[in-house]
Amino acid sequence: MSLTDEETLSATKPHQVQNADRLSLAMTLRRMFTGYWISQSIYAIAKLGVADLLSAGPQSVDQLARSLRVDQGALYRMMRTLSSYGLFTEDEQGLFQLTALGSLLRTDVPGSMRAMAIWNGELPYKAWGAVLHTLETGQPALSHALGMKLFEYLSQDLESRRIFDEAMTGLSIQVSQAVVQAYDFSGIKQIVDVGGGQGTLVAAILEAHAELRGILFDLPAAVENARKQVALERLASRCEVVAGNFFEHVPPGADCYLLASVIHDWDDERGLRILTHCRKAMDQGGKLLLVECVVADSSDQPFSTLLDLQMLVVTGGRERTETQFAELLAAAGFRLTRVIQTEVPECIIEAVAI
Amino acid sequence: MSTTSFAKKSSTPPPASMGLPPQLVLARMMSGYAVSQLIYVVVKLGIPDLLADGPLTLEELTAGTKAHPQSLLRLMRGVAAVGLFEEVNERQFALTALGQYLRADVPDSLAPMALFSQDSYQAWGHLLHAVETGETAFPHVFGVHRYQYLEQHPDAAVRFNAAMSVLSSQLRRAVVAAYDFSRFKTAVDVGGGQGGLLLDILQANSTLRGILFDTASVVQTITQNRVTAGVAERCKTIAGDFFKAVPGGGDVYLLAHVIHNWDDDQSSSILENCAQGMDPQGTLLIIEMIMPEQCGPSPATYPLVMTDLQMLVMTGGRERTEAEFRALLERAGFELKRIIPTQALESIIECVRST
Repeated sequence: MSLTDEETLSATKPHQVQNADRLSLAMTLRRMFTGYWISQSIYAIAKLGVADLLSAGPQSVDQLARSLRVDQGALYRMMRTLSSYGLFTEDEQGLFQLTALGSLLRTDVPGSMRAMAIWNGELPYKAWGAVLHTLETGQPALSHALGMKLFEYLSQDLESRRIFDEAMTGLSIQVSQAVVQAYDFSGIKQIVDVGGGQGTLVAAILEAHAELRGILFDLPAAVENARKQVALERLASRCEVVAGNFFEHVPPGADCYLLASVIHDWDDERGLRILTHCRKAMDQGGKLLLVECVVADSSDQPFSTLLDLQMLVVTGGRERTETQFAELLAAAGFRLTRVIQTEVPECIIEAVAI
Repeated sequence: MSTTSFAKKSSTPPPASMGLPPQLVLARMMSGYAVSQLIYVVVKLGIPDLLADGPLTLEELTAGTKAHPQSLLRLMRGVAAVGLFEEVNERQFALTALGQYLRADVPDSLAPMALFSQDSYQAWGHLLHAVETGETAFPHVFGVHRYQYLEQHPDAAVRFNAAMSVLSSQLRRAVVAAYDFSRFKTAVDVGGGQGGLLLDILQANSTLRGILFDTASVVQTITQNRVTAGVAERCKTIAGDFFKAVPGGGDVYLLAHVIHNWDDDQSSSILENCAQGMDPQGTLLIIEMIMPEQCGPSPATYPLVMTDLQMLVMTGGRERTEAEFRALLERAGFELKRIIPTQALESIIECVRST
């Protein structure tokens, strides 16, 4: 759920703006004020599947509008806007073509960001519309907007659940590769990916370690989608898929447990409950690996700071500092042994059951 | 890319994506809504004004805003991360040069624009509906046209007028500098809102008289704080509906940021009423951005294409190309004489009655 505006950020560091003229400062601010305009434009294009239609070659707006059954004039105005932002190019015949940027919205490319664009444009967008509620009460604005918490809602709205899972899978492909590179899994016999969603991470680890066996554990709605994943089908003999709720129990007996981007979805009380269930499932000396962003004790970290706000507004969770992780782990019967930075913003936080 | 280098290159702006991996470029566009709302909520809570006299601690900010302290800390750090505040000591925050613009009490304050999202964020959540159907999103969400809504919701009208005044301050200076009004006797500003543009023109042209024309509900809200010596007595205000009639007797008529709010039929009706009201030898000046025939990938076109979508979402209007303006004017009985660029993004489209 990245929301870093790198260009804006680099353009507005206090030490850099001192010499800038007033007009460009005002322009920078105006672009920030209207950030939701471009977010929703990208959402609409992603939801309609325009990039998939253009994957075979350039098309006119007339052709696109007929395939999509949408208003031609309005679609043209959207396409023109997103061309200006570099997602498409328009040639002299009025044919629109995908750029490298726009191609990221295709469904079938590695690292597709289409699901993430759709996800951001729906529930999180709605939640941020009620952000004042979070500031007044400390409660996630999403719960206020929907009348229930995110994961409760996702268990009822299966279409949103599917989009959420796809969006997270898109993200976790990058994270999984980074985790496999950064951590030595040799010597481990069985690994349980707790809240593992579509199984991207556990599949990547099993692919890299032929001796390892795995369990993917998540809610029934999530694992139902996961069973259809090709990577998991190929690993079926070594990877079991188990449905359950990590607030009730976690499959016992493995020597390594993974919690990737799980704890940050929850406040300390619920985070502790998940960790305690993991600890109960494990023998002393067993390993627990958290894959999370680790926040420094300052504001100078745009990515994790803004991700933290996304957690505040959408899930009610939070990003934590190393000290906060160590305390939470200790309370559940673990000792934090080391923090390994991967090549993506996420770190591997290694802990041992004591 | 620093702001400084952006400003230097603004005559030939580079693509926004220059030097950044496409994943990052797309991610920041996709999540722009969170940054917008972050800024909205700090202004709504009045935080930039609290920080006007210097840095404050989290405790002081909590006392001043009545916000939830832990959430406020996370908010302050998020806003610091986008460069509007600075955490000068642990849990103590100050405004940056950029953040100063969000104070209500500075000249050219942008605070009203930050608050404007309260009115349009929800409508933009239905952009997809507008593209699917061609319908305007705002009435789809709120049940009435944008301007009816503003008449029914005085709070929203105050926010709207404040935001529009910010937008127009730069434009007013640019129009006065770019166009010679000295040959005219009476200027009629049709849909002139709070009257900012007309008063500036009168101030620069000491013998010109002015008529400010807008709907009764807009005219009622005009604050008399811009009464400058020698100007107010040369300007009168008339309430009415430009879809029915426009005051007669002027030799120059202004339509600034009016036509882009309406579709071709509605625009044509406004223009025809201007033609009815004005002297046969009179001049009509339309002040609008002009959409190029083709938009290349350039930040220079962002305000144009984005305002066009804002019209699609909010009012049902559109930004037009020169050819589209010519066709519209011809239909209403006008001839486009020349297009005068200004230092602002808008141009002045000078028109006379067709012979």
